[in-house]
Amino acid sequence: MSAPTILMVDDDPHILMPLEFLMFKHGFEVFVARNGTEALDIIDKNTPDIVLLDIMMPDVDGYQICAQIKAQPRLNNTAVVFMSAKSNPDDISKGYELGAALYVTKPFSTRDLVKKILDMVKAKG
Amino acid sequence: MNSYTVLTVLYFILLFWIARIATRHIQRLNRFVSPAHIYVLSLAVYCTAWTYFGSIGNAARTGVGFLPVYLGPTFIMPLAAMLWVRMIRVCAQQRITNLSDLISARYGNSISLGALVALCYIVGIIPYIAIQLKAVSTCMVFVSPQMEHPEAWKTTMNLYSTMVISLFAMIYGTRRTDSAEKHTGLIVTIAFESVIKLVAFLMVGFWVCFGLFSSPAALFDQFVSQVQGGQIHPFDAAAMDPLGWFLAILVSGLAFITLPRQFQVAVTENNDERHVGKSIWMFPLYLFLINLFVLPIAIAGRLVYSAETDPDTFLLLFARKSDQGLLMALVYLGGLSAAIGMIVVETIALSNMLTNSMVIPGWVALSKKANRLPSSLGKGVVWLRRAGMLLIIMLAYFFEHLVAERLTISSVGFISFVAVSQMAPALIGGMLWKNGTRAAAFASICAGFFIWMYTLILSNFAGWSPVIEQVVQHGPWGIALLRPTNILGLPNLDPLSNGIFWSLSVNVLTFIGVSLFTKQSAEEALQAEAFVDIHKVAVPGARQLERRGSASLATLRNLLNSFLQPRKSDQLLRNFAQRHGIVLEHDAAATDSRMINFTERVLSGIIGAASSRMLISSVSSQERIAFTEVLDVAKEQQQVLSLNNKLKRKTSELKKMSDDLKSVNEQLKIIDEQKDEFLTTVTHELRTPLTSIRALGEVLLDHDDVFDAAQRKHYLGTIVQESERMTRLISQILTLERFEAGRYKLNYSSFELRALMEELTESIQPLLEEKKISFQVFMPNTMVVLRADRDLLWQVFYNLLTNAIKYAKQHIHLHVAQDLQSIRISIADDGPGIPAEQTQTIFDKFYQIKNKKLLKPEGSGMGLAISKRILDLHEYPIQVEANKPNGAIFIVHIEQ
Amino acid sequence: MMKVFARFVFLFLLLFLLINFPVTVLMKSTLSDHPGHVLIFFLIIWLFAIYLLRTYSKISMKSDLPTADE
Repeated sequence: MSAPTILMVDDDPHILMPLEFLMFKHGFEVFVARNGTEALDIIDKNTPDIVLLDIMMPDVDGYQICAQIKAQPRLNNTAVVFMSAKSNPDDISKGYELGAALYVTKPFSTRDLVKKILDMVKAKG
Repeated sequence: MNSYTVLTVLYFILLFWIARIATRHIQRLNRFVSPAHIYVLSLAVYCTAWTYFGSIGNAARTGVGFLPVYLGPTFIMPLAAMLWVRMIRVCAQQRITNLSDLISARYGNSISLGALVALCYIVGIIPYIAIQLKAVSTCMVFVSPQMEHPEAWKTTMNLYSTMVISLFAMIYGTRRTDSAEKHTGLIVTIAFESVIKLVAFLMVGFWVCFGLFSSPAALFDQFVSQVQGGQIHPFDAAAMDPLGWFLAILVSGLAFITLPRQFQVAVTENNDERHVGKSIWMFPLYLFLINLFVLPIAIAGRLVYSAETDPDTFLLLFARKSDQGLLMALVYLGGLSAAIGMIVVETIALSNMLTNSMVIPGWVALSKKANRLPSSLGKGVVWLRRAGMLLIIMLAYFFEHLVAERLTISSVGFISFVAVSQMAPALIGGMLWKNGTRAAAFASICAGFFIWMYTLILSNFAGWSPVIEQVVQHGPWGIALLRPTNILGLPNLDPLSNGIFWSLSVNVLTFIGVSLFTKQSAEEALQAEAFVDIHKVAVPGARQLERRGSASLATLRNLLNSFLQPRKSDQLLRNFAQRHGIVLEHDAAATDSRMINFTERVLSGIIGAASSRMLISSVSSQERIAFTEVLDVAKEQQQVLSLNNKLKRKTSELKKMSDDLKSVNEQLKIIDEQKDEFLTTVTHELRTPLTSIRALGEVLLDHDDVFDAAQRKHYLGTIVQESERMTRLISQILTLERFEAGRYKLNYSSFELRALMEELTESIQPLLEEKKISFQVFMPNTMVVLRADRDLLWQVFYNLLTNAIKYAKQHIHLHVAQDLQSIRISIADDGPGIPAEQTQTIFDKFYQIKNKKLLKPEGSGMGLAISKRILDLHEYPIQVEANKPNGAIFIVHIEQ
Repeated sequence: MMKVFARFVFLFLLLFLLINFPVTVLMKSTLSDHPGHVLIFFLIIWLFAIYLLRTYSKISMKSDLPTADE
């Protein structure tokens, strides 16, 4: 059984740091991207199981990346998780409409997030 | 037969002929002679034998004493014209044809007032008519010296001409029952006579000045030398007392308006208002022309004729002296014309007044008492008028024989003028002032007339009775101050002026005074509105409401039949009904009030408004509506109108208020949106570092065992860093808020710019080194001292420099330039620059946050906003030169 | 209404003064000495007054209602 892969995208390095540590601790193969372009680049070359997306980013925002992911059949099994300070209901429903599996608002609890991600992976089998 | 008899007869025939032709062919006539000119010439009936003879006589004695009579009308023309227009309209509306009807109508259709006015006019004018008859007789005497029995001839001719004049008046002065008909023939004849008068006068004048004497200058020179030589008396300068002069002019002006003959030609016979406008200057021109030679002829007369010669006859004398038959004939006819014109028109007017205001009301009142319709009145109205004319002329004739021998034309004329002027306050006041009341009119006319009689008439009867003599000499009951000829002993007033002054002053004061203290009846008030507001529309409709009674068709027809042919009255009624869509049922049925009103109007034209009203009310079984009702309606209408206006104003005010509220609302919405945006952005900005802090903290807590010291340090350091970031953000927001709310107080101090710059340079060193950017400073050698808040300015420049470093590729520089009035500090970088359209928006609060598309180096994004606010507080403008793609330049201007 | 009446009173007085002045001042003293001059002077002034009246009538006829006021 190969390790599950997760791609984390956020322009703020200070959030990536603990998340990266956590996911690594739980046996994920972790990719990080500091902006959308990098992220898409990585997605092209890999098929991550989970993509953790910040929304507000300088070049391509998280919604667009999600849309692109969902547009590719190859990535059907990739679960998109949004994490964002944008908390108003419209933003949240937009995220789900785009096909996200989960939307967490910042600041969030890392313990919860990790648990939910592990659950998703388990569900995928 | 004397040739002059023939001439006279022929002239009369000519006059009749002109009248007849004019009546029939007025349109054709108007192609040769403009109707406006005819109108003006008819106004010249003002110039009577007084002008022809009396003026010269007056001029011979006083030089200029004749002038006021002509200056008065000249000066009062504008007022007269305005009054005439109003009168024309009112009279057309209410079917008024003479002055007594007018005054009576204005003051609530008062019959007693009408009768009073008619009486006063008759009493005041008969002497004047008598004088004209005397003038006619003088003319005739003049041309018949060779007669065997001059006295007999004179008497015969006098009587004969009086009869003929009466005949002319009777025939051409009242052709139809309806006295509202114009008497075109009469007017044209009068106009013709005015031409003859003028031409004759001018011709004699020319002959005297250029025929008899070689030139006017020669005439005057001769006069002057004779005066200086003592052969002739100079002019009597006492005649030109200023007050007397003014009073004479005033009275002449007023008389011009109140004389019945003037009213007749100016108002009743007018058929186009525009003629009135023309007459304003054309009539004074006529007066000017006819008076042109008065003084020369008078002077010539003094020179040529002895002192005993009656100067009134100078004109005739000179005409005869010229030995030119034509001239003599013209002057003779001119004199006749002058007198005849006056007599005819005045008689017609007076008779009209007599009939409408005294006889018919009396007759109707008698019939009412006897409870029957005045059916026998009928067409008799026309003959009634004619009888009146005859009566008046006869009275004048007898007056002339009894009294007029001793009086000069001029003096009688003036006395008559003063008499008719007594109607002026009531008349003019009534036309212009709504508050004039009937009681006031009555009182003022009575008072004025009484004083007139007391001051000007009484003294003439001194010889008749010792009592009168006593009063005249020593005043009533021996009170000298009340002597008729000089009341209160006012100095410088000749008896005539005395009379004018006192009668008019008391009259005016009484009129105004009594008006202020009496109330009007509803009908008076209604009429006052109708008269004074004639130019506004309001009232005619209201008059329609008046009659609410009922009268059968048969009654109305019978009434009209009293005065008109039965066929005519039936026709009138049916036509009216048809025009107004009224269905006429059988005779006994009650008719529409409109029919009653119509009948009343028709009758007004025949017997005058007051009598007509009386008759109608007697046949229509109804109570006179409380005119207060009608007045209330009219007042209500006015109130509604003014209320309407008030409402309109209120509505527009409200609209304005609602517009204001809307715009305030808009502004509030914008502010609200801005507040929302602010909150969203701020929370976002605070959440981001919080996320890291929390995550880092959680991980440290949960997995502490795995971390080594270095990692732990790293994590904790980041937590602190992020906390600091949050703190900074919060304080910046608060600072910005303080700036914006205006709560920040600047801490001014004077400092040297160079020191500040050195500090700044030191503080950005680490950043410069980190990014390997070069920094250049250009400063003037001189000391640059600023007065500002040092710390805040430090922040501004720090912010600008760090921004520059953030975006620079390799170089930044700072440049200080100083001129006389200001200092320019510019900070430039060689980075990507700023798009032109964003040079202003970069100073917005959340510019960097909102525009995440930019490559965003560290920073909260509030720096520029805060810098801008600080600069705004100092009132230092900041300029951005977007030097894309060579980099951006920020320039701060500091005024010294 | 008062305005209108005042206007005419004013006009009357104006014309009155215009003519009155030469008459009372000049004529009183000099009529017997220089009747010709005085007369001509006065006639000119009277003509001028007529000219003023003509101007006035033109103005008041401009409005729809000749010499109707207000």
